[in-house]
Amino acid sequence: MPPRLPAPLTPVVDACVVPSCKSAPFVRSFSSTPCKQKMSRARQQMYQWLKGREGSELAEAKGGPRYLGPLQDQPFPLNPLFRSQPVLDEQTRELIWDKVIMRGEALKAVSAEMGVDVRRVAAVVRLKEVEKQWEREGKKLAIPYAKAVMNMLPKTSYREGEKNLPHEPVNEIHVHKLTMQQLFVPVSESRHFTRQDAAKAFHDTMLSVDARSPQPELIKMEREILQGKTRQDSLAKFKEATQKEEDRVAQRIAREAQREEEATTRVATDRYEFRFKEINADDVGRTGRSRKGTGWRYGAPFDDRKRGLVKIPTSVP
Amino acid sequence: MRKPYRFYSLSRPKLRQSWNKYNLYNLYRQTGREPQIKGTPTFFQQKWAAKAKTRSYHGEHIPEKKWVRLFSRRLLSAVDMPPEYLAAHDGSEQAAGRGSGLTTTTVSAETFSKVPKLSTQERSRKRAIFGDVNKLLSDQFSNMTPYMQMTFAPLERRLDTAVFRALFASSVRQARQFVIHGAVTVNGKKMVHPSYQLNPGDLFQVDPEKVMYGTGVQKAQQGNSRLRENLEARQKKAEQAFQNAVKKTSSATAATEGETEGDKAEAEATAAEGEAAEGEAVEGEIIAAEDAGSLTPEAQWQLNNRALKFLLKDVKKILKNNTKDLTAKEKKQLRLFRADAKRFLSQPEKSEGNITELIDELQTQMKSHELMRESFEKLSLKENQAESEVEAESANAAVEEGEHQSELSRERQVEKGLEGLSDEQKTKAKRIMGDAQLSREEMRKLARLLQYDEENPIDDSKPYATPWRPRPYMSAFAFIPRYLEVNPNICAAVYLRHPVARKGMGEVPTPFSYLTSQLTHNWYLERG
Repeated sequence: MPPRLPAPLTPVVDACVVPSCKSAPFVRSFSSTPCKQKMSRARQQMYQWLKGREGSELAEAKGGPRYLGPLQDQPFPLNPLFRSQPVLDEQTRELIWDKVIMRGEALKAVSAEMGVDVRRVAAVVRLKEVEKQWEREGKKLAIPYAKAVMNMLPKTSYREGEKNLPHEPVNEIHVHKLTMQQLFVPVSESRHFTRQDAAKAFHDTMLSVDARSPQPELIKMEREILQGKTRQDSLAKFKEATQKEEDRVAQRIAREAQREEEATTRVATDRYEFRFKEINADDVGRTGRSRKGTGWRYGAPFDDRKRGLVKIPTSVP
Repeated sequence: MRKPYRFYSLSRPKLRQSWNKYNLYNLYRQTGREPQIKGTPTFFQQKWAAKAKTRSYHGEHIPEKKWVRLFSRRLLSAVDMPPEYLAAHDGSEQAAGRGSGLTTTTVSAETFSKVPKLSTQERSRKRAIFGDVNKLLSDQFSNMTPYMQMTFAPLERRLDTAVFRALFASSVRQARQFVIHGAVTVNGKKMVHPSYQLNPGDLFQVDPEKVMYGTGVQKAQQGNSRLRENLEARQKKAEQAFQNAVKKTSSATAATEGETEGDKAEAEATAAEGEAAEGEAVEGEIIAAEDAGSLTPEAQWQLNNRALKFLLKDVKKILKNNTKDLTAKEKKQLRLFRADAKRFLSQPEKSEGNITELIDELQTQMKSHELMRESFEKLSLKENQAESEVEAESANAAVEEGEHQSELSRERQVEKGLEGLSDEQKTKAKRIMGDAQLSREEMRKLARLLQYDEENPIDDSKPYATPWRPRPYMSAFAFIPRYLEVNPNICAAVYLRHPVARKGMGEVPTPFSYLTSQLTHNWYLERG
């Protein structure tokens, strides 16, 4: 066995002047372990790929979306069942806001016209309102970020007065738990077995697709068109109906606010405004623990800070 | 949970919810695929392997116990029911005639749907691997609702995951940190629990600064030090030269009043100055011009003129070229111009002033400067012939600036005025005259350039590299699932509804194939 020689003493700084080491040569590293002289094979291959054509294309991200998968809109190579679906572009979102807020069109009408889900229409308006508020307040928007992100995503755009493809289905129905079972219902051949009957067969209280639709007015409109009315007339009727419904909701909200206002007595002092409301002491129930009641029975344990109880809120009003 | 050792590994790769380049490479080389079947792994072994693989991606920061409690065997799906179909048919056509042996009709809700289909266009023709199990399996499943891909849907409801999915953070762990550090609000209230389960309709908002930090290129150690040094040096020079300039101009004006010869000397001096073009002495006048209350109006105007000339020296050059793609040097000059212009207009340099205001003010300054010049011309008729003519012509031309014709006539008249001088001096004088003014078109161009620069400024106080750029390899991960509606301008998003499966598409973003997800789902069903 050859005698063991002590390793040559090399200064720590020199150990880092290997080309594979990324750090600057004149920065003293804290570690006394010298850098690895050789890259592992896997790492080498990775950098080869990253520096190659595909890797550099992905790094730059110029000119529209660019994903890894074999299909154009497929981000994960192994999962063709997930696709990157287009988002609404900047002008379309602005248009939705304009239609709803400035022109006062009903959400459902805008949704049906532009082929965007009602919930999405409402969300777009809500977000745009926040954006406008920021602009009024002079808060700085994340413009460079937004530009970069919108450049990387597939987009749908809606242009007024042109023929546009819908963004997403407007009348989407959740598959109800009760309908996921296979059911054999013997009926006579001559029976006219409709969707309502099918729903009844699954459960007595089960509603049919027509009743669960988020756009019943739209179905009504299409039915009228099939009965021979002109599209223009029925569209006008549809718009009127949706507008009326929205007005009803607005009135209800206003009424509720007014009722609330009437129930409270405001007493303004120089420091505070005291608000008094009539409450019913019986709301707490027999045990005194009902959630609906104001206050809780004297002595009833209040568990909100106990160990082992989840304190994470379930909803934020 | 603690971040595991060797989070991104090449030797024992795991997929992660992150934009890391190691993760990208692992995705590219199909790390999560089902292994070739060697030997006879038991069903249990297959399920275990699939579970381990998927859990390293979906909520690896959540303890297993908590995920098991979240798991739901009720998988959500939705069907598109076009109103046209519902109006035209009542559903009886599905069963009509079946008993008498008739073939079923081709009418279904799907045939009425107008929503664009998913693309089937291959990005590039790749060498097909024969017997690729994953591909064969997924081809088969593309015509059904992939419920199994919805196994991890309950995790998509979590606040940290939603922040990551909305592209506000580069990994779930980072998103979680943003939440814990108080940068995320839900419905306008600060929410510090990353495990908060979003309800449909919840609006969450992330601090844009954090988002820019999370998704931007990392800051280098000495990133903009050169520019900062330049700016500081320029300001120092300007302050130092201020005193000299004031002294010099006051003495110069005193001299002109005495002699007529002095004019010529001065003209030469300005020419020489233009030639030197370093503007070392002139810089100070930018400041000097603003508060030369002690000077005569004429001297003040001269000071102003020189300051303007210096200010617009580099900008003219930039505007001449194509404004679409500026070089790094030109961008730097633009930023220096902005700093100088603010100084010239006696605005505080640190102020977050609007660019349009800055440009407007500059324009009015130039206009008033021009008017003053005209009034001076009327007063000093006795001055040197060539000098005055030149000035008058340029003043005339400036009034009808922007028009080609006037440009030409101006050229000619200037030529005429400069007869007495040599060719070399002629060109110099012309250059000097043009330097103190910008046409309206140029002004508009400049405003646009500055506006663009203002949106994405260089700022050393930021924790990310400025001007902001997206981090490399972000585009491969940039997708927004449909259950979120995102407004990137304010870094806010609305959780519209729970993710659902549709025909041929599961909304939960998962990198694993149907087979893997199926095995995982079976593991969590805890049946055999």
